Amino acid sequence: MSTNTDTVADRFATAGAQIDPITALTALALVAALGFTLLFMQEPLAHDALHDFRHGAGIICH
Amino acid sequence: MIDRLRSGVTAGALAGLAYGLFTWLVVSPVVRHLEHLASHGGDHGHDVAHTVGETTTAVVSAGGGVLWGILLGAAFGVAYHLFEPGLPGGELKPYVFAGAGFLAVSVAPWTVLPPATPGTEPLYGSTLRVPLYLGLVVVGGLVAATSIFGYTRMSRTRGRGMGVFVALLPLVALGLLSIIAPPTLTGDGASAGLSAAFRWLVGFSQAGLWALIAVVFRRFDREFDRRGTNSPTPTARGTD
Repeated sequence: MSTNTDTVADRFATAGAQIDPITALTALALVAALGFTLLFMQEPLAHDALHDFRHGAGIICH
Repeated sequence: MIDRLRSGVTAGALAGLAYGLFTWLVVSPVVRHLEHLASHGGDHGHDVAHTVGETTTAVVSAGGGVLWGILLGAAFGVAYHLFEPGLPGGELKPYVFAGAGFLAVSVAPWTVLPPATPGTEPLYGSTLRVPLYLGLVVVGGLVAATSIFGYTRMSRTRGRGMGVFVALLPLVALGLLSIIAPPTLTGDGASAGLSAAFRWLVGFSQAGLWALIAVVFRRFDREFDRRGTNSPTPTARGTD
């Protein structure tokens, strides 16, 4: 693995400097959308179709 | 960062494919069978309420398994890059971090909301369960962080044995939470044995998914290291 000696704070600072807020927000929104669809979507069609998956993954919100 | 994200998504996609296949071949038939048993045992037919066919459910659920892997893999890659300097374990860092992820995303919510065996019904509505679930993920993250932080801190000053002891404390606290938590499921759809077997199946499949992500991620990450694109100096790393 890498032999660098930077800290967690350094990594956050670097990420903050390299990635502009809009990109970060877009990425976060995509992740949230995917997570929401898989875990919490209550719309009957999508909800029922993902039924087995939620059982299998042990996600309670089914 | 971008390299790590790429490794994470690749690892997640590969692990997700395996997991989707598992959902298709094992989980769906098992769920179907257990619900069948449950609907014949009592009069609360869980499967009566379905609005889509069984095949659709199986296909979409398998696809959900793949996406689940990608989601976890992407989150894993980014978070691993950010927290890597604080992780113990040297070469085994990805496994430590995958364990932390498993603890936060799966184990912590299960302490209060155990995996629902087909045929059982939740006691509370989703308006209560969704915030509870998200809250428990946060709790799990804190437990994992305290455990890892305690280990690195204590093993540096008092030796490895003390580090392991301190690392276990938050985990034991989480275990106690599962004992004192009130039951959240009802219904006698499946026998205690079947129910336990189903929970082990769920637990092992999730642990396997995380392990697979860690294995594949580590492989790709080392490849980047060898090629030098994952340079430790931030200036040498492009933002893409």
